[in-house]
Amino acid sequence: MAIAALEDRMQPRPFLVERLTQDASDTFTLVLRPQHGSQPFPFQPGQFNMLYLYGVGEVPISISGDPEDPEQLVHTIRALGTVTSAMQKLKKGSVVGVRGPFGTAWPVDEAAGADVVIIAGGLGLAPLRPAIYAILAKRRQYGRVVILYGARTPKDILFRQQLERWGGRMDTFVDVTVDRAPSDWRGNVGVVSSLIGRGGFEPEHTIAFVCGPEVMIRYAVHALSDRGVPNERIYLSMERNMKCGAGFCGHCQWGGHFVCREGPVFRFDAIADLFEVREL
Amino acid sequence: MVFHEGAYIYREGEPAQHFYLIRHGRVALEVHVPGRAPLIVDSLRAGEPLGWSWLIPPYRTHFDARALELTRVISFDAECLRQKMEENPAFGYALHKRMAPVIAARLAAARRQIIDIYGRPDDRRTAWQ
Repeated sequence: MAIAALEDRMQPRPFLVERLTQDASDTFTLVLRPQHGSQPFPFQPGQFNMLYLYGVGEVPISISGDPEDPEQLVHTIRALGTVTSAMQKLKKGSVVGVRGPFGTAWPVDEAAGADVVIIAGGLGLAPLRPAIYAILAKRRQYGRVVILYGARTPKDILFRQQLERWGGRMDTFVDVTVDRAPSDWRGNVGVVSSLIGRGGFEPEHTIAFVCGPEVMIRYAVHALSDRGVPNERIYLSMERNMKCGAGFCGHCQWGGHFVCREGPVFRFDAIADLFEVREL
Repeated sequence: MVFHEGAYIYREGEPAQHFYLIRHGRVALEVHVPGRAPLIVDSLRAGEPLGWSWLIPPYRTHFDARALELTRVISFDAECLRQKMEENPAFGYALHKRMAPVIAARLAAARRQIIDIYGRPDDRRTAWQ
């Protein structure tokens, strides 16, 4: 990697907060624009940025916006630690440093011609949303498109209106479930992997994208395998403690992989063995 | 049998006198906790069997089952089925072989639900899971 290109990746660029919307009590979406000029920010679905809150710290956050709209940079964030909790309090015009985009992408183009099954749990829908945008923008190139989403409770459902819009399309199957619900909930209750059988896809002609808590990914992958989806057609996004974003610091090392550089999106057969290593 | 939206198909603690197959509609399994609003812990839809308490002593239902929409079910007399299973072990075994995976899958799902996989993770991991 050339020195100039490396410096560019390590140097945060200032972005302004254009909008902050509250998705749930602890989840929010930041829409950013470059502070200087209107240079677009091209990225591929599944990639992430390092967001730097000056004086507080830096965190890896997946891009959740539309890759066809690189003028605005969108991230959906859960307020968990010091940095993300401070980000939740940002106002319009606040400055955030951005490094990226980093990492591998969902193989959206390679999936053309296949049935596509997208399985998301919790905030895992955020890194998958750019892939959904990209697939629906070229919907005719794909076979059956199935979006399955699981959340903790109805009020934790992310991008609810969008899910309803996607589900309203005649060419897309969307099903949502929650782990538990009050009695006025009319939807599904149960684990997201229980929805897989309802998708109506052809397993051997399917490409699956899975993202969510690791334990959910494991159950979803097992359920896909049980239905006959080959391991080499299952992709998942593994999240680790990314720091440098370029594979130098080793914070995100997972077995022999640096997740920030070789991931976060992995083909399942490439990392299946690591799933069995509990110490990792 | 037909159950209109909101109708209870059975209530927790009742004798499990029937075994149902859902033909159409959706059914919520609810738990009532005194002092709290009812909680839906599972939902079932067309093609799925409803209830297995009829198969296992003491043959009492564990949850409330409420139709979430107009629901049509095929209803089997539980006592009659149990008697036929006793009289015809091959039939009994075949039915057990069909019900055991249903029971196992629901037990596994229930265990996954109680581990709260979407809850707040350990902060050292990531900001978006």
